[in-house]
Amino acid sequence: MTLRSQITAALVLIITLLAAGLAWQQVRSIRGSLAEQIETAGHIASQVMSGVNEIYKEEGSRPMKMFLSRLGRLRAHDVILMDLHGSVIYRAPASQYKTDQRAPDWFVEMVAPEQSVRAFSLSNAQLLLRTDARRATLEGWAEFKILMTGIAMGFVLINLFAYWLVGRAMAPFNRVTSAMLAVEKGDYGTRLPALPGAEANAIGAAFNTMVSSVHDSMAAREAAAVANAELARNRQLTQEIQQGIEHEQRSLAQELHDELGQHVTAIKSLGVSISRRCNNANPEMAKAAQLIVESADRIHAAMRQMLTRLRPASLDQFGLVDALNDLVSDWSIKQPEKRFVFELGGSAGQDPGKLPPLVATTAYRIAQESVTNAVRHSGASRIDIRLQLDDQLNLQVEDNGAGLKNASSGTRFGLTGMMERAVAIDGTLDVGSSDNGGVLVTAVLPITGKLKIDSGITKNPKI
Amino acid sequence: MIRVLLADDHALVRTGFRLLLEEPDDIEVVAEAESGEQAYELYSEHQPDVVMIDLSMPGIGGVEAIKKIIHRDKHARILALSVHEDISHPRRVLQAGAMGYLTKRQAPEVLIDAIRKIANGTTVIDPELAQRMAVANSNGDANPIESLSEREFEVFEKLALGNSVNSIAEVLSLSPSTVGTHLYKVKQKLKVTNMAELTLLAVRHGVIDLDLDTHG
Repeated sequence: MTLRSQITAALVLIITLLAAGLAWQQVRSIRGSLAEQIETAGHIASQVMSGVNEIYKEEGSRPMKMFLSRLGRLRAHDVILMDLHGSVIYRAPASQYKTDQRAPDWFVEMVAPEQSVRAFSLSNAQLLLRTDARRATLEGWAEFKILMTGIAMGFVLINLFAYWLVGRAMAPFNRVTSAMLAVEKGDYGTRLPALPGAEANAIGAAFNTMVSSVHDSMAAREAAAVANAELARNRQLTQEIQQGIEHEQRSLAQELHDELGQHVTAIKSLGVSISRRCNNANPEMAKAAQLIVESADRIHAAMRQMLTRLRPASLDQFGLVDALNDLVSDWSIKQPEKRFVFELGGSAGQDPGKLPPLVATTAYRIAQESVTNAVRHSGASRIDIRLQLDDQLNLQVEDNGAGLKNASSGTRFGLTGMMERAVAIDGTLDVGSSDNGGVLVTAVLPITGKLKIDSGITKNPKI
Repeated sequence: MIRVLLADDHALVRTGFRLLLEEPDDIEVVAEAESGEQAYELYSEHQPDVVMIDLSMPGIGGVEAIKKIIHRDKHARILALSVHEDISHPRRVLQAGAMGYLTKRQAPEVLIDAIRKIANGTTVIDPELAQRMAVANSNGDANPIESLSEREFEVFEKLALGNSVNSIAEVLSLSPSTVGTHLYKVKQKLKVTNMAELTLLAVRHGVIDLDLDTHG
């Protein structure tokens, strides 16, 4: 039900009640005056009739009839003269007043007083004086009709006016509704102008504020979605690059080892052999051969460094635990004044070789980077690597150095790389402070579960 | 005469090693293998005194080949060679049952001495790597050797140097079965399963010193 029809209905009800009240009042007043008139007329008629009756009592109906016919009509009364048998001897003529008009019976019923009959006995007849309000109500009826017409006209006018007024007041709300529908369809640029009427204007202003905040938050969400997609793309790219680097490093290491390594070994073997065989016979040749040997040694040493840096063979061959052992061992040789400790917990001791290659590589690189950071930047004297393997891989690298506040941008860059690696396989990486003020890197990597990118590790890697 | 099986997938490397090995009169290369599988086959065929095997060969690779040969003949004397100078390679190789591990960098100079020692039943590890392994171990748990009794330690030391149970019994004036009991206890306490591991442990903890003669 629209507000407009509600208001109209309310108005109709109120006006109807009002009209009913007025009509009732009118009816009451008409009835009152009518009763008074009839009473008065009846009273007078009754006195006249009594007097006349006294005079014509003995003479019977004839002189009375003559009197009555001369008298004519009595107001609001029927005058009937009957003989003793009940036959009408005389009846006063009907009123000539507005004979063509009649008040409706219900109106008469409503306003007319109760019918009363007064009877006067003559010697041979009876005179009846019976009230008849029918004619008398006509005036009341006319008044009543005028009143009711007025009320009906007022009713129509007031309703028309109210309808127009409400329509005018409601018009701005239709604009609000259509603006809302426009927003619903996705037109977030919709704004309402200043609307007539304080309420409509307040609603319009609130609507505008709401739509613009919706618009802003939609825009923000869109921007966030775009940024997220961008981040995901970048992350994917980073992962692919990292995988590519790993792959490239692995093949470089393989190549170095298989080709360069073997040839240098051969050269050195031959050099040693020549040197030994010529030792006495040809010292010059022996010396030259020795130079070849030394040269080969240098190539060997350089190659070994490169191999370790590229990718530790033990990682592919024996798994993470061996590779971390080697890492610690390498650093212990390079930095004998520092202490490097590797501890293994959980079920890792049983079968560390079963780790997914990408998880092993990720954990190794995180450990490698963390240890390198600790050695280069923290001034630590002790570095602990702890590996715990249960349902997931838990790797900690802790140092007793100066802590994060002194971390260089290079360190930070390294941390970002580690984080990317951990996130790439749905793991987490946390860099915080250890109890002794140094840095504690904690990586938690899932062991099971789907890995996003194929590690590219060959099935049967060579040593 | 020490009969050697030479396994390496690079012909040039084999040539170099063969040249080195055949210089002294007491060593003879009886066969050359290009793969782990072939090394295993040729071992059965030639029954060499020493197998010199490269770890990075195509196919089953060196470590698997060592395991197969040891599985067939637990007395096989195997010297493993590899480019890798980490500590996990020698450890894994010794666990697989090899008696020695040399890096290819060191090999040409020390090869002849190493072959002789292996043939003699002595464990050979590249000294530099043995040192590294000792350092790595010193960072770890408490020294398990301290759990040995005085007599057990004596037996352990002599075993590590390559002495047989009988010769130890003779030197220490004990019955061979008593020495055998000591050996059992030592292996249990040190959690080692073969002589190579036992020797390695001795080297790591500085009980014995492995000096390879670089002049054949």
